[in-house]
Amino acid sequence: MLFWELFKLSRQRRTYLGLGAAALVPIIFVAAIEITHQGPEAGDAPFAAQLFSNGLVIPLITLAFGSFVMLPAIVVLVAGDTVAGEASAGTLKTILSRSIGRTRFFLVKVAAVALYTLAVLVVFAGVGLLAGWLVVGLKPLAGPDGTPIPVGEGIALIWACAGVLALPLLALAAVVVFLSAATHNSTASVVGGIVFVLLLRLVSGLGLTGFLDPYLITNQFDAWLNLLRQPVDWPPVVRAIWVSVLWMVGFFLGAWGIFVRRDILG
Amino acid sequence: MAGKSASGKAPLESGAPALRLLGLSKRFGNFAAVERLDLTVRKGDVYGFLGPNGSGKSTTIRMILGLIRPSAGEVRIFDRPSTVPGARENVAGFVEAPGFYEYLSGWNNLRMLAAADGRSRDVASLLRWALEIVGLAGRANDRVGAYSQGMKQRLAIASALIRQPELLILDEPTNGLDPAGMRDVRDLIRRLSAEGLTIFLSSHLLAEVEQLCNRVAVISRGRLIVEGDLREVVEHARGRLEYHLVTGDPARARQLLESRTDAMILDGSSEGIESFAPQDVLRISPGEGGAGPVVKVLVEEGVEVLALVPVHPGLEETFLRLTED
Repeated sequence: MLFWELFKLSRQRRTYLGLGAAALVPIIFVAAIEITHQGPEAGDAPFAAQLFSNGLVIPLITLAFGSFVMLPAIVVLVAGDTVAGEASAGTLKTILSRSIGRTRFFLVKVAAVALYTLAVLVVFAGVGLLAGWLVVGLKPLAGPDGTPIPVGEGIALIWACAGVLALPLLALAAVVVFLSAATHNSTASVVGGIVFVLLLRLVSGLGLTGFLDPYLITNQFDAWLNLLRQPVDWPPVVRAIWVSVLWMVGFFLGAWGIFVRRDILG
Repeated sequence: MAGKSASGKAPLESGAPALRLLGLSKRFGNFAAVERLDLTVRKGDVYGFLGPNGSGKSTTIRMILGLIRPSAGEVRIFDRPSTVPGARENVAGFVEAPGFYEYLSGWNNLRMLAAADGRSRDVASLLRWALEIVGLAGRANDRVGAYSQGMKQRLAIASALIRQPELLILDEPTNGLDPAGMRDVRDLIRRLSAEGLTIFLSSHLLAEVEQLCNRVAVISRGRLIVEGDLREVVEHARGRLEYHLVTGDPARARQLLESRTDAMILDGSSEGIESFAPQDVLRISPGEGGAGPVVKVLVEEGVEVLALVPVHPGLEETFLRLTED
């Protein structure tokens, strides 16, 4: 069934909207810095000073920008449709009239969303790395304290960063799948997911969240930057991991509870 | 049915009804969509489930298919509660307008549904068989989005058939079809019934049910009005048909009918019939003997009968009249 879920994703336009954006943004970024020879100032983005001399920096900088709004938005776009899209197309009743149990179908859908989220990240970081390699060239990275980081380790570091970023994105996907299961409305879930991200950022930015602030899901999106310090600043990374897992599990269970009980009226 | 013996399903206890609803109820907030519905579909029946739109037919079917949870009562399938895992293995069907993945071909829709049934062997031949039966073999590779309403309806029947069910649930299967399409689907239902399938067919068309079904239940506003053999139910309803009566002396006709027949004079104004004034038209329900005794009494007493016109009320009205006693 997972095959069919992925097959369905592969035949839908919104899938390529997300993947296409994830592939296009690093390319546009590289093209822009090649043409304008202007980029973020040192301090605005990781390793900004080496931007024009080392392609390894490209995926790190695009990740830093992408993790703010773009990647969450792409994830929300597809996650919001999981249950709601099927409900409004009338296919949910068709599938759930078959032998497959609701729990199993839910797991398949969630697995597909998770794979999609990971695919977006892989495409985003992979295209950035590829573009950096082809256009700027790869060489050892000068670490923050001056120690050189070999190319191989630099690449591993990029994927480690993407991996740490994957967790809060998956948690966000769980929140939006929950909205999708609860509302049966694709638009409401997508808009709700984006509003959720912006709202958390707003209240956090205004300092209204107090002691809860470190546990907001939106404040885990840049935890991976701590991997780039020398030595690595582990506590925020570790917190991002368990906080993300908690959000993920909580909303996943909530969505599952709604999905298996809810009347299918569409 | 292709491969039925090899389907690995548990043998069914013979004699058990195919489907029983026991006190089945569904409330949405304060609204009772279905109320204490009891009915029994025997094996081999083509069972007509009649009711006007909004009467609770689809809600009932959703409960039979497990899409919504009853507020009270029970669905029993081949004598097993539907809540037992696997109880619906012998059931297939659809509710309301069938929903398919419009961006996939008919073939891929069916393949995916077969996968959702956990079927992995002989899928292609099974699909070809089902598509052949519903006459869609030539269009299987087109996207469902390009199908007409009738083709989607037929694809829905094919998707039910690939479950190789014993009990087929069809919700208004001729909805949206042109007359030729309706005839094809009705022929198909007859053929499937002849092959031994039990069919539960919801409809708001009395004529359709009369053509296809041996047993029938009528519901209105979520309640069962009558259940029984088709002939009994239809005749019962027909005996209560309404007539418009025009005589030379309406006052005397009214008096005669009330004293000498069991006809009922229906209150309320008539819309009248052509060329007669509304106040001259009596609305009557002739009772057990039909219109004959009415005419006889009037003629014997010298009351001139100018017109006696049966009024064919809609199904809803006909069957609602059954509730008045």
